Amino acid sequence: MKKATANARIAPDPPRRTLDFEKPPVVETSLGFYFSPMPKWNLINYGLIWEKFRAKYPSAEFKPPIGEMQLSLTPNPDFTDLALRALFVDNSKTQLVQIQNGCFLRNWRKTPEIPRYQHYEKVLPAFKEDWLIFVASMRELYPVDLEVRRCEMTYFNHLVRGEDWDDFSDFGDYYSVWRGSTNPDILVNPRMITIGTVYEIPHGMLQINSQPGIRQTDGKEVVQLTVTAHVIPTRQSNDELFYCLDRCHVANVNAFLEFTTEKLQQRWKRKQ
Amino acid sequence: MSLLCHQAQSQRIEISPPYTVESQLETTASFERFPWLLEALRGLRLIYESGRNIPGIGDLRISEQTASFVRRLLSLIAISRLPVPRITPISGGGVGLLWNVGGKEAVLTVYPNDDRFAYMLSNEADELVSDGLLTLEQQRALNSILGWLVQP
Repeated sequence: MKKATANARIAPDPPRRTLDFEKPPVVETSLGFYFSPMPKWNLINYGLIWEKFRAKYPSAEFKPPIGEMQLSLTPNPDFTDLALRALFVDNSKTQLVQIQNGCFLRNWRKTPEIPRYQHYEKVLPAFKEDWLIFVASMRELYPVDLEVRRCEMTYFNHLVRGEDWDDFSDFGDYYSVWRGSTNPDILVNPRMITIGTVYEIPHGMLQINSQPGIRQTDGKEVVQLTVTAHVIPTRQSNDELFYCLDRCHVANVNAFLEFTTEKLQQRWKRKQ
Repeated sequence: MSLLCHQAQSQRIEISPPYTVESQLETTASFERFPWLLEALRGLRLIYESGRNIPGIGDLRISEQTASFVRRLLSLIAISRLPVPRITPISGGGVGLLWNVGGKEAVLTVYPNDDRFAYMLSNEADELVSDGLLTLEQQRALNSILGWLVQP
C-alpha cells in the first residue's frame, strides 16, 4: 500500500497487456539501475567487483562508458578513475552484467546457438541476484549506500527486411503512429524512415526509436525498434527498485503493443 | 615520458535521458549515423535485382551470399563522412566498390565464395599506394584503409 501512497499524486500505471509471440522480434533486453557516481572511483574496483561475479561470468571486456563523455587536457594526467564500462560475460555469451561508475545493467541477448527468448519473468530473478551481489561488493568498497536515481528497462527488437517488412513505404501498416502520406503524388516512396519519440509515463519517461541499418553479424538489413522505459524510484529500497523495474516492463509491453500494428504482430505469430 | 605531458583527463559522464539507447551486443550500422550507407545499400540492391547473364559481356548475377558479404563489409565501415561508393557488378558474381575523394581512390573487390576481399588505394597522381587482401574480421585495418581517403 505504501507504493500506492507514494504514487498517489500522479496517474496510475495502466494494466499490463499480455504479450507472447512464437517468433518474437526481440534480440536483446537490458535491465538496470543508474546511481549517483561514487567519489574516488578507482579502476581497480572493476577487478574487485569481478571477483564476486567471476564464477558466473568468467569473461571480462571493457568498453567506452554509456553517456556523454567530456574530456579535457590537463598536465599530470591521472587515469586512476578513467571512465570505462566493464562487461562480465557468461559462458553461453547470452547473459552479461555491465558496470560503470554510475550504472549497473544486466543484459540478455539472442544468439544463433541459443535463440529462445527469455521472458522478463525469467531474467528478473537473475537480475535481482546479480544486483544484490553488486550492492554487497560496493558495500565493501564504500561506507555509504548507493543512491539509485533511475530504474530502466529496454527491449531491442530487429525487424528484418524480407522477413518482417519489405519496403519503407509499407510502414504505415506496421507502426500505428506512422500514417505516411495520403497524397499519391507527394511524399511517396520513402527511402528511409527514422522515428524517435519520447513519452511521459508516471514517474518516468518512455522512449521509442525506430532506426534502420545493417546488422553486422549477418549483414541483414534491419530496422532496430528500441523501447526503453525508465522510472524514478521514490524510496531507496530494493523492493521499491524492483517494483520500478516491473513498472518499466509494463510500460514497455504496453508501448510496444500500441506502437506496432496487429498486422505486424501477426507476422511474429502473436499467441495472446 | 614526462609526468607533465598533456593527456586526456578530467572526464565527466552525463547519463541523462532522453539519450541514444544503443544495443550493447548486437551492433547495427545505422543509416542515420552513416548517411552514405543508405545509398550504397540501394546501389547494391539495384545490381542484385538487375543482374543478368549477358552473352559477350559476362554473368553479372550476384548471389545472396555475396550480397550479404558486401552488406556486412559496408556495415563494418565506421567512417561517417565518406561519399557514396560506386557499386558495380563484376563478371562471375563479384562486386566492386569504389570511393573517390579529391582524386584519391579506394577500390574494394568482393569475389564470390571467398571470405576475403581485395583492396587497392591510389593517390591523386593515380599511383598505387597500397593493396592487399583482408577478411571481415579485420575491421580496424579496413577503417584505417578507408580513413586514408578522408585524411587531409
